[in-house]
Amino acid sequence: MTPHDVGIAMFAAVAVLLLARLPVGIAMLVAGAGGYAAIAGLWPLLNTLKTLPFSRFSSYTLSVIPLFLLMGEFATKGGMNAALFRAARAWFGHWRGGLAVATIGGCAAFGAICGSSLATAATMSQVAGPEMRRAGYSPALATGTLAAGGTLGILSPPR
Amino acid sequence: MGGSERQGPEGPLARAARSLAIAGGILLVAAMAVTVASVFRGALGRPILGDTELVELLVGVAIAWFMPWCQARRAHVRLDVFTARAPAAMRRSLDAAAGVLAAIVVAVLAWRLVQGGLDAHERGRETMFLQIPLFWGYGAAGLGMLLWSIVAAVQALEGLGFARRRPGP
Repeated sequence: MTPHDVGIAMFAAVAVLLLARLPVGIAMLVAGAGGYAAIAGLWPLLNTLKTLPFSRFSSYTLSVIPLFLLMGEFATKGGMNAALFRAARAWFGHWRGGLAVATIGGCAAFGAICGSSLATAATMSQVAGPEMRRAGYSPALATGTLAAGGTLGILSPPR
Repeated sequence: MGGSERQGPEGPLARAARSLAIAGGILLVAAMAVTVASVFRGALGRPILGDTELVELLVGVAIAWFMPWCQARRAHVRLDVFTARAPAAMRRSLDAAAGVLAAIVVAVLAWRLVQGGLDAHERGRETMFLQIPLFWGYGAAGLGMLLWSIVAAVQALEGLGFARRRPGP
């Protein structure tokens, strides 16, 4: 097999392993290791694995994540989401359906700070949910907006 | 955050995984303290020498120590979009097979990490500034991998019905 064939086979392997409900990280590790062994051989792979996993974990860049999450907790407890929602409402509130747009905007802004979908959805529901209910939004639209916006939290870095 | 972490898997293995994760959290707090102290001292013109390598070691071990608890809570990221509508029995057997594979892969990782730690000890590998021996990091991370593998294996055996299944939620 040429390295090119190995690459294609490994793509297929990742897809199959993911469909079989293997954790994503393990699936990618298995496919990558299999490809490495197919091209370079088993012993080079085993030797690489002596140092590679730890040097992947032991990364200075990763150390910002706990600090970032702590900052998100502070922002949540400090009521920053309410302020962001007010700001988004001032910008978009006069549009038709502006409250829903403002909710998405608030979620995006807060998600960018907080980085956790769970925290974004939970706190924005408390702030924007009652407002939308008061404005006569249907519960389906209100919760749909919050669910779509709240999960933006995980899309923005670093989580 | 908060709340959902309170309930979770029970049993001696889960308790061990949880304790290791808490110990990892303490390491992480230590890494944060080193960073904060170094920034403060840096403002006074005297940063801590080798702070990055201390943080790197602490973070690396902490991540490895979080993994068993993550496995115990079945919190590793998986794709279940395509199998969400499959019969529960099929999902259970797929999960058990995936668990066995994960346990084997992680056991290999643990074995290689310990081997790498022994190598590092033999060759006296150290960090550049502080001369911390590297085998500590490898050994500690290997411990996390070992427990991860055991937790995954026990979960898979429970799923296959070989081991006593604990009453779950």
